[in-house]
Amino acid sequence: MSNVTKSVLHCQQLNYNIAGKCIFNDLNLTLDEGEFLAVLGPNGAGKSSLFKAITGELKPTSGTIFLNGEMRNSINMSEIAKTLAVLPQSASLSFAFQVIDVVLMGGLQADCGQAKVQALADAILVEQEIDHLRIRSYPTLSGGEKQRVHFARVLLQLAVGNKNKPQLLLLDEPTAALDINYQHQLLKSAKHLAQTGVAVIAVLHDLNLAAKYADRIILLKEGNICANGSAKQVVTTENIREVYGYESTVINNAEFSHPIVM
Amino acid sequence: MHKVWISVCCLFLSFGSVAGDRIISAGAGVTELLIALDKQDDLVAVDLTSRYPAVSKLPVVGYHRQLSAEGLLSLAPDTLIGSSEMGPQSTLDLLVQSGVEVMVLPTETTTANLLDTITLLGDKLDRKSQAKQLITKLDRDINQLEENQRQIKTAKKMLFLLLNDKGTYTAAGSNTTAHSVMTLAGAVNPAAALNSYQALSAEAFLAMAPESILVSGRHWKKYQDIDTLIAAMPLLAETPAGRNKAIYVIDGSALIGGLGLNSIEQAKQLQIKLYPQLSADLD
Amino acid sequence: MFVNSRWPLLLPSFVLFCLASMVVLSVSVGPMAISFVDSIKALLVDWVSWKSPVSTQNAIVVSNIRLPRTLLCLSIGGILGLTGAVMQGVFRNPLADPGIIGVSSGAALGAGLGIVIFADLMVDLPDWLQLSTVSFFAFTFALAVCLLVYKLGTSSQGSSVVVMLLAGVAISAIAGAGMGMLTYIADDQSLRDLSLWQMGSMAGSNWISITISSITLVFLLAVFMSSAKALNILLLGDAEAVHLGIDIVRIKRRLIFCCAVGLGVAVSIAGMIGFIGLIIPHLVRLLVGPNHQRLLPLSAMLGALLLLLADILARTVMAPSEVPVGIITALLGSPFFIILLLQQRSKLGI
Repeated sequence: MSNVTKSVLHCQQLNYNIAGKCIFNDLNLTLDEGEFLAVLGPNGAGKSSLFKAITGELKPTSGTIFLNGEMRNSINMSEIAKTLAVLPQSASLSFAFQVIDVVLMGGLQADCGQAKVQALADAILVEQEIDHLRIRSYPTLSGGEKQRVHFARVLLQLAVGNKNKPQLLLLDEPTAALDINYQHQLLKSAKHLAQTGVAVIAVLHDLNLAAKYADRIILLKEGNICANGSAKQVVTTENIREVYGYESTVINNAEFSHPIVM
Repeated sequence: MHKVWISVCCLFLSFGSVAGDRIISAGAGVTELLIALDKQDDLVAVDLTSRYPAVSKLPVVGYHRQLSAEGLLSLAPDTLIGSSEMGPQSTLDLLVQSGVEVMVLPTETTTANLLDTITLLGDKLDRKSQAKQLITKLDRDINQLEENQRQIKTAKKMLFLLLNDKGTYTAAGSNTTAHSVMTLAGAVNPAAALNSYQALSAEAFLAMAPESILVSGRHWKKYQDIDTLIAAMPLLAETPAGRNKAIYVIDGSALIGGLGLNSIEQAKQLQIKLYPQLSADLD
Repeated sequence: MFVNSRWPLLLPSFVLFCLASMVVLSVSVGPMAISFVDSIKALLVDWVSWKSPVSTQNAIVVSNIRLPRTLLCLSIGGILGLTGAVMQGVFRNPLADPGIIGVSSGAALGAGLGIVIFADLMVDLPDWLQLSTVSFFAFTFALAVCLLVYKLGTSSQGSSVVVMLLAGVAISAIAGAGMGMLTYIADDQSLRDLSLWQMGSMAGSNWISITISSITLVFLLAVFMSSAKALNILLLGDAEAVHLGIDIVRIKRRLIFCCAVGLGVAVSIAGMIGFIGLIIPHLVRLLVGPNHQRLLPLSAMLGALLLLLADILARTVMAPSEVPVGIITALLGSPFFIILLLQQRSKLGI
């Protein structure tokens, strides 16, 4: 268990009850710099509630969340935005902004000049292979394209943010609308970001994707962490049976760097 | 406050000075008086409410409470005459500033006011003799009307109804020209306790039990006889007026613009119809 | 799109040019037959002692009637266009009308009370304020309604635009009932006044109203432009805006109240002039896109332009009488909007 002050994120004894139902109880979670954590579990396990508690959309009934050693609710909003970026599952934007304008929104909290922000945005567009969409009107894009635009926006937010402290990227089922090519591309980018020191938490549904990209996987069931460890440790037939109630076959072949679920 | 000052100033100015030749009239009552004083040739424009055949070809300056300053000035008037309802104040101020004389007459609700206004206009517009004639006639008419009133043993209950498509029973209370006309004619208005035009509930209407009904000629065109009216307003059949088919029609233009010449005339005619035994004294 | 052409300032410059021309037109056109040259001369009489003779009446018409109206149109039109754009941003709805928070119905109710009930009451306002009873009531009720709507839509959890919208609908219904009652008990005179007020008029221009509305416009521009980027991001959604570090509760409160003040001022001076706040921002968005840094100033300019044009028509079309300006704005705005909408459907994703 890492030292509280060194970790990027530390959730201490989080409880969340609503309408008499306990969503999660006494949950503890720690994330270090550069760690890529995947959170999985069946529907209703509490994944999105946990996610929202970390992003700040939800107030846990009790417990504390620490960001870089400081209590989350003692940090002001614009400071948090320089350290923490969130990619939502879906964002509704019905106004005809151009793609470049949407991406540039990520640069709101930039301390550097507008020219630098523009340059960073241009680089990100190229890197994410959406430069051809640059002046397209956002509402005319497909669901997958929109998702990639928001990912670029979030990348920009981190790029212009506070580089003195470790940053945190939160992804909420980011691959839902994407085809297989872009699913891997997005997660690869996130992995690459993790390698530069940004901690990543991704809520995923696909065990194989999680196994391939995450450093650590958490399996949630009914608000409790049933498994917490590396892919090899967590992705086992027993765990999958216990959490999902599904009889699976797990292939642990030396050819592949991670277990494969069928 | 402003309006009182302007009228006082105008009153002072009026002694000895003669008003110019281009007049704009703002108010049906004013227009009526100007026509009666034989000044219609000097009228260059009238307001929206002045609907008289003699002025039907003149340009209209809009509603007399929302006059357009530039519109008025474009007609190069010398004088603007209207009631105290005339406005807005900023327009009147601008006109005065531009050298137009603004004459504010009191809104006639009493016969005394009407006579004073005629005198004032007569002096101002160089129509003293016409004014005198008019006043003499009016005085005589009014006196006769009042004299006859005193001779009425039991005044008839008359209700003025505002006819509309919905069939609601809207009556004229106090502070309406209809009320003044009916009172002059010697009738008693059971709705006198109400102020202005009010919609009555069915019960209230029946409780009033009018012996005769007065309506405006303009609305009457749709019905033409009392049976059609009763078909549209069935409660009428339960009143003495309905049972006796006692319905009277008054010229609608007499009801706009306060108590005017036509109002007095209509009152006379109404009195003759209501109390035929007194008719010998009226002509 | 005009925006991506080589000259990003092309459209704003063009609009400014149109605005300037419209101002000149407004001052030189009217039911009074004054030649163009004479109008300009009359205007300059006040500022420069022009040697050539200009009749006093012409001078009065141009300087005291047309010029104040023109200036008032600029400020009121600007306010209406600007608040419309901001309201559509805050409510994330391109079809939102600035009155959506109940300000218009509140103002109407206040004006109704002023006209029907309190007209004869000598409300003791200080002389320098020179506000009529109607203006005073319209403004205070506009603000009161906005406050109520905001309070209804806000709790300790934050504010919800949906709840505010619904609250606005409910309050408007109540205000409407109040208006109905007033209409019912009003006498003919008041009825006429009330319906004219509801159709709007720029005839009440004096230097007080021009000063008040101009100051309001400048104030609004300053506040809104500083929030332009935040307004853009608000369109992504409340959650996203928070993630990007925006205090949405504070900013929405600030924006809504500023709009209420602006609208209150506009409505209390000029009555109800509809369509500008609804159509202009949408029109501007179709021309230059939804970025508020461009949308806001252009909405103000085009709002002023439309109102100027409407006012010119209002006082010339039926001279010597005047058509209420709200009717003209509706007649002008709607067809043009429909045409533009049809042309731009593809950009909106259909």
